[in-house]
Order: sequence, then structure tokens, then C-alpha cells
Amino acid sequence: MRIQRIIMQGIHALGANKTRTFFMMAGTIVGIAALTVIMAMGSGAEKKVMKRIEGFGPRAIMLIAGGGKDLPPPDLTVSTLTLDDAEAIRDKVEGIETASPAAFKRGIPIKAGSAQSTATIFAVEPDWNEAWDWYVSDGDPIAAEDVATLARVCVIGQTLSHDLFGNESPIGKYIRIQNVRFRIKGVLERRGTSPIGTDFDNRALIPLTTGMRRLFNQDYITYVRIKVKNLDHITSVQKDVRQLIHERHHILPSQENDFRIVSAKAVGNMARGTSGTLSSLLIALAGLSLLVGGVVLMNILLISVGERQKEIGLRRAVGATRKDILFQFLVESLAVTCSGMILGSGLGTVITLILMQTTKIPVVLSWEPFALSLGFALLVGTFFGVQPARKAASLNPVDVLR
Amino acid sequence: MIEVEQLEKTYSTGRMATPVLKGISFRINEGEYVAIMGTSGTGKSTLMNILGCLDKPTTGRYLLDDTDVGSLDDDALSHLRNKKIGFVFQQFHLLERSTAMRNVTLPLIYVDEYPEDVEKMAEKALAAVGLTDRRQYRPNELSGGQQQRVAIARALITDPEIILADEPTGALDRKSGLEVMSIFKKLHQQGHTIILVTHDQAVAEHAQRIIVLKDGQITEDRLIKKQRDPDLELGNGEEKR
Repeated sequence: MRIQRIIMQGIHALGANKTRTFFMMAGTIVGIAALTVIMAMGSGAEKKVMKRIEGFGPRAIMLIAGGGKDLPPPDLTVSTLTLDDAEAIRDKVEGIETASPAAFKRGIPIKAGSAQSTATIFAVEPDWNEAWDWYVSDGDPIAAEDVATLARVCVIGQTLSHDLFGNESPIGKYIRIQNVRFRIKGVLERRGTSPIGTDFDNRALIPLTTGMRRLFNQDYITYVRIKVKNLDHITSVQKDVRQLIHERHHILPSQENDFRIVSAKAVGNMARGTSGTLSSLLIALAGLSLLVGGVVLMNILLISVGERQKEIGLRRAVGATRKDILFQFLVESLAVTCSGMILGSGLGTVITLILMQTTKIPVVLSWEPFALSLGFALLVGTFFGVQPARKAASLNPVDVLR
Repeated sequence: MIEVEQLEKTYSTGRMATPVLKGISFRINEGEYVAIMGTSGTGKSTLMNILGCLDKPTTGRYLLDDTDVGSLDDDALSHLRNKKIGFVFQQFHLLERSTAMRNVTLPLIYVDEYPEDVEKMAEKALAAVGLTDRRQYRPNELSGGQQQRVAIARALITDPEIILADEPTGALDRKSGLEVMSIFKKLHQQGHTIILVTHDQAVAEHAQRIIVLKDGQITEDRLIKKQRDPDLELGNGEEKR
């Protein structure tokens, strides 16, 4: 077919002048490579955010003692949040599945025979497991009876278990927490580490009453973990809880809160915050290099049309129509941007893989950047190719064949 | 067959109108070997562009095989050039980075029905100009005479009715020029219509007929009694036929 033959003419012309073709391509290669890397980093960051939200619990709201805007860790010396607050939330706020109060203390020394360690001690109620979606992998959880009787029983995390008992099962054994003897009745599922590196599995759960009266000697709690019935309730529950605690703590609108409420959404926004501005900056940069690449492409094409006037005139003389010439130059422009896109995608993928291997920057490779790059390549190739192609097609063979 | 009647061409630049051709009429039959002669500025290039369907007359008629060229649009003119006219230029106009083979087959890119035996056609055309062994050479690997012969092969590839040669020997030395003229002689003998545009009386005398232009008008249209024979002048009339 004629079209096919003309396409081949365009490609042959590019192959015949490799240096020029490379310079035409350079901008597209850099732009597309940058785009690929940035998008890989963007999806990496988003994946990390999603993981954070997942880790926090998408349906969770934390009511934490102490004001301020930051995320946990909470201020453990604030004593205004009480069990009655938790009770009130359970009674008065609609759309709640669980509202589990807890108090905790970090760095508590723990002994088992001659072995010793330090861990975070959580004083919890039986619905803690459900509130955190975190259950025992072995033995039994803290029961309502344990709370009622101030029982000296505990459930321990896998790290603590390993530190004290090695590979043996700790169930039924005894440990000393601040010199109080506790019987281990269960082991928690492994949870890993937090985004900032805290080991979630180095902990022990004890009944809330036992913790508050026997161990910590305090009448306040650290937080209430609220789980809403479904995601739509998050905002309303958050609002209701805030209002309720405002009333109960007699806080005026002008006064600073002595608590804060953190939801999965807030966690996501926090995590997104910095990476968001960074990646929009980088996307702008990639766009800019594509634009510059396009302008360079157009200029070289225009120069090339000038240099190839005789060729164009000759082609017209031997039978090429204006459309044939227009089409050939568009083909050249598009072939440049499309091959630039392929090379750029390849380069970007290689850079992404290197980042993956050598740095901790989260990256995700997917097909979307390729689709987007192809779109950009076609757009840039057409947009910046049309004018030179028009110029080539409008040349009068009589004028250029002298 | 070519027939021009009262051909006029006027170039307008701003308010100035410059008449270049002022009423030209002649007829060239199939198989003729005609030289169009004239010094520069006499309108011979303009006439050649019109005969080559690269340009249209301002007034008057140009019939090419009963087609009124003046009434055709740009696409139709391209089509006509591709089909009926083979150009040979003073400066060869070969694609510098392409082989002789690719240069010769260039007009076939723009034909409606691509022939199957393109290679054979190209070989035949190159054989006709004596360059069978230079198929894969690029223009910069060929002498001027050889480059012009590649250009002639390119003009032959579509088997056009008219070969339009504009100062074909202008950029060549004497011997290469004669070799090119020898090819034209042979093509003429094979029945091609050849129109030679030149300012050089000596070159024009290779043709059968000379049309002399002066100041946009024909001053002379005569047959040549004794044509120059390039083969004889090359001194190898015996071997070359």
C-alpha cells in the first residue's frame, strides 16, 4: 500500500541520519523516563499510604488523651480521659461497633526465671481483639471474667515470647511484670513493625482493671479505640465523639482540647502530605521536559525541512502529492516520539529497578505509565510535527528544484 | 503527444506583473527528440516547468495526450507527473543517503499499484544506463556522470512517455556529458519522447529538432539536418550501439 510505502520512506529517512534522529528523540526519552520513574514513585508512595491506612484499620477512630495535632504516640501523663468517657461513647454515639478503652506503659521490665526483657504493657478489655482485628494465635484472649476479677493473667506478643522462652510454648507459664506474677494464657498473632520501626509484637496484654489498679495505679486511660460499623459512619462518629467529649470535659470552643481524634483518613492524609507535593512537582518537571523535548523536535524538524527542500521537491516531481509529503513528515515526527517513548520507558524502568534495589524509596511498576507515555508520545509527535510537515508539504517544487 | 497553444505565463509580484511566456504554440509528437534552447531569462525554465506539469500556464492551453493540464488540481498534476514524465535535472537531485537502487525506485513509492517485480525493474533501468554493478552505491561513491545516469534510470523506472531533461550535461565534464547524451540517443531510438532543455547549442544539436526561445517567444523551430552523434565523438561508436 501507498501509505505503508510512505511510512517506510519516513523511517528510512530517520535511519539514514541517526545523529539528527537521536537529538530529535532525546527530549522524549528524558521526559518519558522521568514520567515513568515519577509514576512508579507515586504509586509506591500511594501503596505505602494504603498500607498505613490498612495497618491503622480503615474503620478505626482513635480517641487519644492529650491535645495537639500529631499522630500517636500519646502523652501518657494526661489524666483527663476516663473509663466513663468510653462508657458514654458506647452508650450515646450511633454507628459504633466497638469502643475499647485501654491504658499502656512503655519499657516495663519483665522477667521469666533468669530471662528478662522490657516490653510495652497494655491494660485492655475483652473487646480489644475485635477493635484492633488482632487475635490470639495460641491459647485464650483476655476474658470478661479476667477483667471482673482483676485476674493476674496476660497475653503476650511473639517477640516477647521468643525473648523469654525461645521456641517453647509460653502458655501456662508465669512471668513477672514489675514484680507482679502473671500467668500467660495466650499468644498474639504476629503483627510486625510500625512505619517508624516500633516492634508491635514486643508487648503484653493484661486485664484493664488489673493494669489500672495493681500495676499502673491510675484512674485514667490512654485511649479509646473505636471501630465504626461501616466506612460511611467515620465522619459522623468522629463528630459525635468530639462533641460528647467536649461536653463531658467542659471544654469551651475557645479552649484547647485535652484529647485528639485520629482516623484512618487523617493517617492517610498525613502520610500523603509531603509525598504529594513532591510528586506533583516532579510531574510538572517531567511535563516540562516533554514540552522542551517537543519544541526541540519541532525545531530540528523545521531545520530538516529546510535542509531537505531538494528532496521534497524531487519527491513532488516524481509524483508525491502534498498529502504524501505531509504524511511522511508526520510519520517521521511520530516515529521519533514513539521510539523515544519506548527507549524512555525502558530507561525509566531500569532506573526504577535500580531505585528498588539500592534505596528504600517505595516504587511500584505498573502498566499505567506505559499507556500514559504512549499517549504523550502520540500527542507530542502530532502537535510538534504538524507545523514542520505542513511547511514541507507547502513547498513549491518549482522553487526548490532550481 | 504534446500540444501547446498560445501559452502565456505571467508572474505577479505585488503590483508588478512580469510576462515570461508570451503566446507559445507548438506540437511535439510521440517519439520526437526535441531541444528547447534559449539563454537564461528567456522563459525556458518556465516552459519546462509547465511541460513537466510542475506549473500551470496563466492562459493558453497545454494538452498532454488530450488532457488539459491547465484544468487539473495539484493532486492530479502529481499523479500525471508520476505516470507520464521522467525528470532529469542538472544537479541530479539524488537522495544522498540512499543507494542507487533506492534512488531509482523512488517514483514507484507514489504509483497507485505497486509492481511486484520492483527489483527487476530497477535492474533493468540501471542496466539501460550501464550501472548494473553500482546498485548498492550511494551518490557520494559515484562520479558525476554515474550519478546523472542513476538519475536517468530513476526517470525511466515508471516507463514514462516523456523524458524531460534540464541541462543534463551542465554539471558534467565533456566525456561524461557525451556518455549521458549517448544514453538519450539510445532511449530515443527505443521510442521515448525526449525534451532537452539547454542553453548550449552544441548540446541541442544532439536532438532532431530545435525550438529556440527568446524573450518569451519562439524565434526558431527547425529540424536539424545533421544530428551530433555522441557515440562517434566518444570514439567508441563501434562497441557501443
